[in-house]
Amino acid sequence: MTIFAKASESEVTKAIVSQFSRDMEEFATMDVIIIGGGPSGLMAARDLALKGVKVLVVERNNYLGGGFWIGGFLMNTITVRAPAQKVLDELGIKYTAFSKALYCTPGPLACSKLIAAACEAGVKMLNMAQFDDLVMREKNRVGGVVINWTPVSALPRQITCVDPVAFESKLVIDATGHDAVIVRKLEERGLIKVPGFGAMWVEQSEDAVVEHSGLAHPGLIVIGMAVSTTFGLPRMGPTFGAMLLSGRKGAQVALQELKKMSK
Amino acid sequence: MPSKSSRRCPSDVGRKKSLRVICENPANLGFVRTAVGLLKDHAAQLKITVQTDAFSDYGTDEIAEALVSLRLTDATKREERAIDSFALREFEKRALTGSSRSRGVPCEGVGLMKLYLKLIPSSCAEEACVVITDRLIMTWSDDDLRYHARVVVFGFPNVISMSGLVEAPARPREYYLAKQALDYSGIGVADRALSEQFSGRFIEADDERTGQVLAGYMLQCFFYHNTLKPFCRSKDCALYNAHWQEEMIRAQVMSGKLCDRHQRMLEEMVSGGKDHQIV
Repeated sequence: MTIFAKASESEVTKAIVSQFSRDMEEFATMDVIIIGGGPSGLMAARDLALKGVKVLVVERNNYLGGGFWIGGFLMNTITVRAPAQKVLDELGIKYTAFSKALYCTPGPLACSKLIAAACEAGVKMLNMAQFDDLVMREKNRVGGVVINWTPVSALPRQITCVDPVAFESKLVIDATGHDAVIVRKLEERGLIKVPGFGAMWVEQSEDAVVEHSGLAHPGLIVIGMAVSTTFGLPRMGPTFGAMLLSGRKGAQVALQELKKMSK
Repeated sequence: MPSKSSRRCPSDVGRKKSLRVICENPANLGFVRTAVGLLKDHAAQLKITVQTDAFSDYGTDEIAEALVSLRLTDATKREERAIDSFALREFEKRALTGSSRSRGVPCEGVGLMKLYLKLIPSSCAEEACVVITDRLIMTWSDDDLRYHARVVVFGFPNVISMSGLVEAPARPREYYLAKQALDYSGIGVADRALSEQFSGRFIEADDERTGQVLAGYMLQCFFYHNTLKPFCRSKDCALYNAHWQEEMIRAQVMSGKLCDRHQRMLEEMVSGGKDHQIV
């Protein structure tokens, strides 16, 4: 007697293809598409999904979590400053207090729990796919994204005639870190100007990222380190509280926008 | 590090017995309440109204655009401002309606005061009015051709910057020397380590002494409205014009009191006694 039930090779293939096909059909029309599956993107996605919003996270890597796996200098300890430890509590992530202001948790634990929390909340994930362009609507409102498989960008140029596909959504969230690829795409088109002012309060850089998280263009919300690029804020150290709270703020802004749209 | 505005609303000349404090962001309300409590200790008869929703109806494109046009990008270039963008306007709307904080955002102070004047209710004209903002207010100085951060811009309304309390008065001279040494050593700017090394010698964001310091600047605003003279030469009077954090802490935390002369003046002002208006 074998341990596993019988399933042929072709059945396995059909199961993968049919599920993927159903997923892709669903992804074609979403409420919110988040580009970037790092801590801010996952946090926003999880909060939105818990409110019943249809959310898709597009991640260019095979793995989700971005820099949240590793704390800094290839060391696994993730740090968050108060009050972000409350989010760790909420996600059931164990941590230790380094001081009354700073808390530590192992990266693999924190990251895997955040990914799990997002998935359990109902967030859809599409990894190994990367942002290629934007779908634009009337008055240059962002109305979705054009994406392609990540490996396509690594192919030799003469065989890269691989057309992308487009997903429509009510809102798009740029959670692509310092690259801010969506904001940069709008800038490339002359639709947005990255002001580049220098914030003058370095000690407050984490606060500034959270406070500036929000609408950056009609239909586009910016969160995480992409906020820093969009507004020219100073970079932060290897601490993640602002990523979690920026994601949460982005979700709140998205909910307000969705509410306005439904009126 | 205050700045006097050259233009004043005509209605602000004359004795004001009451003070209206408009708290732009509710997050500062705790410090404002502490300050109001301390002002009541100075003069129990002083009527103080605290308002948190004064700008809540002004989250419009027009006002947001005006706020963006006040954002400074280079302290040495008088006319250079932030490039207007949808993203900045959206941020300004949130800041004005209290859902985002604008801490450390450099903003031209006199222009900001004029903008607030358009937004505050006309009924405020009969009171000494103070707007508490998170923005880092700055004013241009012709002496050295650059902007300087300020705690307060006097006028109507007066504007007190919560970021300015931290950033405008200079920290101890030794602090800057230590910071410079760290910069040169390549270790980097260890702000937290320096804060611990110079603990207590300057006000930091959300410092527990903020309410006390705020009370001192509110008193300066009240005196400005009534006498056009917000300052006192005594280093132990809350009206002392502090240029250093340690002077500010001495006047407004360690002393926390008015000198005898200004205490008497305050009591006369709020009781309707001798008119100290000086024009």
